[in-house]
Amino acid sequence: MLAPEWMKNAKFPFGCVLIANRGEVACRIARACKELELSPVAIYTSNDKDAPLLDLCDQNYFLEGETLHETYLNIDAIINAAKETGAQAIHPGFGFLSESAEFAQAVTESGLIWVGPSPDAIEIMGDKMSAREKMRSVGVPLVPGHEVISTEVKDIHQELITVGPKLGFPLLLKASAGGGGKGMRVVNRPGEMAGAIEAAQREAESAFGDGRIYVEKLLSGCKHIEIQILADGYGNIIHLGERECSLQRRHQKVIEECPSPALNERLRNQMGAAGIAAAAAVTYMGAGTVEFLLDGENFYFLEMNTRLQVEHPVTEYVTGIDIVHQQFRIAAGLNLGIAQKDVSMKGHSIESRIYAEDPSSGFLPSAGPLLRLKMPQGPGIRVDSGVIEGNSIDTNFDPMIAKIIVYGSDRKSAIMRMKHALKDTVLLGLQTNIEFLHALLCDEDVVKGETTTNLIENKWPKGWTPSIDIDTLALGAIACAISQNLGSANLDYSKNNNVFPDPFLKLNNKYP
Amino acid sequence: MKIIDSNNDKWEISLQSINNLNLIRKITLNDEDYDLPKIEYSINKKTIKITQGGQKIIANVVRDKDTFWVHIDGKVLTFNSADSRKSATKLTEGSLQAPMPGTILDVQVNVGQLIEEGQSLLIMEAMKMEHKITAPFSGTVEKINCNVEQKVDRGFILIELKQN
Repeated sequence: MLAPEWMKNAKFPFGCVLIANRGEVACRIARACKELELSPVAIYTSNDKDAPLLDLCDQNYFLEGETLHETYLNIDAIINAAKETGAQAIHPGFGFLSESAEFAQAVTESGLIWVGPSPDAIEIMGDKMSAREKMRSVGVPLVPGHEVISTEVKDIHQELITVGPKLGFPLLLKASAGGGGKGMRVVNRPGEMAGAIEAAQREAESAFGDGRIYVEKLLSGCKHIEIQILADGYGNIIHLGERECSLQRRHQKVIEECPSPALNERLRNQMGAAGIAAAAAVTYMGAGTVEFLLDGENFYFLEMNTRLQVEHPVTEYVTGIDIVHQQFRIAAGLNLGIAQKDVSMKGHSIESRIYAEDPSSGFLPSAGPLLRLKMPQGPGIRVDSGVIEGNSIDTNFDPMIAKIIVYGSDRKSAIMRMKHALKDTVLLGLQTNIEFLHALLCDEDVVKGETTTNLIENKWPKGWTPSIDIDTLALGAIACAISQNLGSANLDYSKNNNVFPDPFLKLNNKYP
Repeated sequence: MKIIDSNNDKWEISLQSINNLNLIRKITLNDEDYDLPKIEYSINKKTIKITQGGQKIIANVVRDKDTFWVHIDGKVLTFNSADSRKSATKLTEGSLQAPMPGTILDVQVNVGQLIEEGQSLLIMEAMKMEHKITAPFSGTVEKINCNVEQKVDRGFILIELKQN
């Protein structure tokens, strides 16, 4: 496959890209490929044979196997798929193998182009403990904490139990290989330590195959602010401003925005510079995100995500820079072509993550078929989704179904647009957090921009239940009766349900 | 048609069409007449249009076996068909159901064991998240219906307890 015209001066031109991912991010990347005249290749499993991704890609490669390790996490099978389909580059997306140094290494060694940073950078930053050491060495401020060197379960217990009280409770246990809220445990009292260590280790072992954990002081009432970085490998490193991702439940982000209402120009420049320093410390290349906790005017390094980030669209809206396009440019060996002074932020963008979960039972995951799916449309509304009506959400994968991203000239108009977009979203067949997201955007602290990472937990410790007035229930009941009587289009979804068209339906069909 | 909402209240609705006019003949809530302003409605291919006092409301309804899912004015409601056998499943206070679909990671008690309120009974996992099932009261383990690594649906009765 020939490289497109825009790559003609590139050091490492390529024309065909395998996307080592699934769902919404794979669709996002496939569309970027098409825009850039690159030919996208999808990998898929038997679960995903009806996924819309397959229509977006020029080639589809079937991965045999039942488990994730046999399919989306199978390095050999994916590289083999690239070889067989003639792909010259691999984009890992986020999640799965995107932060696997081993995968990056294997891709490079097999002569393919890796759309991402070097395996070394991934390894240092991917291991949260070595990342902390690196940041300490270049003077990036860290959350007070302690890294345990030993890998012996008994030693970890001993060391954390001794060190914990010195840092002061509450503490947060984190998986060294962690991310996405997995393998994290809050410890409020010394007595909870042993049980929490065990649970965090087990979760870390199950999610990452690496049970090492470390401890940080749990700072509460803070904001989660992250800096988007682009680096071209020729020494040009710029930042695209911040994203505020304070609204989280179970340490997973729910709503993100850009810019943050908490940052002024001076703080933005300081945090941007710290982000650039963090990236420079590992000779970073590509798109990456440096996450900080912001406590008043003080900020502390949390971790660096060496990949595309779920919430990247809010930065794209506000800066006008397509981050996936930049990833491909950098991978081809072209220089950035954007200087820091060219980056400006205009307007306001918000992202809502639609999760398959039940807010009323403490945001526990749900699953089920997407019997009806209608995503919102309109000016300033972007939907990143990897599913269509008729697909199912199952518990093997991440519970995120789709993202809605809006743009407005200011924060207030972005919130109004998002509230309407959420009300306009129809997703039936399983529990989701859509109504909760709407309620969150009506909360007075959220409206004021006074969000913290524990806002959701503090306001709704047991989860959130919608209040529905009785007239709405009555109208809902009537709608059920109407659909049943007049033969609503849903009935073909019901298996074992041999329904003939209702004869009364015909009475409505009067043509002029 | 008789349906039950998520608060366990019973609705009964009968509709009629006279001369191409779609009307509501009667609506009751828990067998008592429910007063609603006059309503007109029509149905498109996928959506239902309800007009109430000049205000137009669009509803989406799908039916999955005995469950109706309704989207109306940004809200999602669920109703169960009143004659479904599902609601007849006997659920005692000590029957602990799976709060989410997932896999059992660990069963921490045995049949006959005395347990205390708040004690962790089993751990399940979905989407790589762990969730602890704890005892709602002190008592005895009567029955365990699941094994480690078993996949269960939401609502599956995992453990049955007897209060002391």
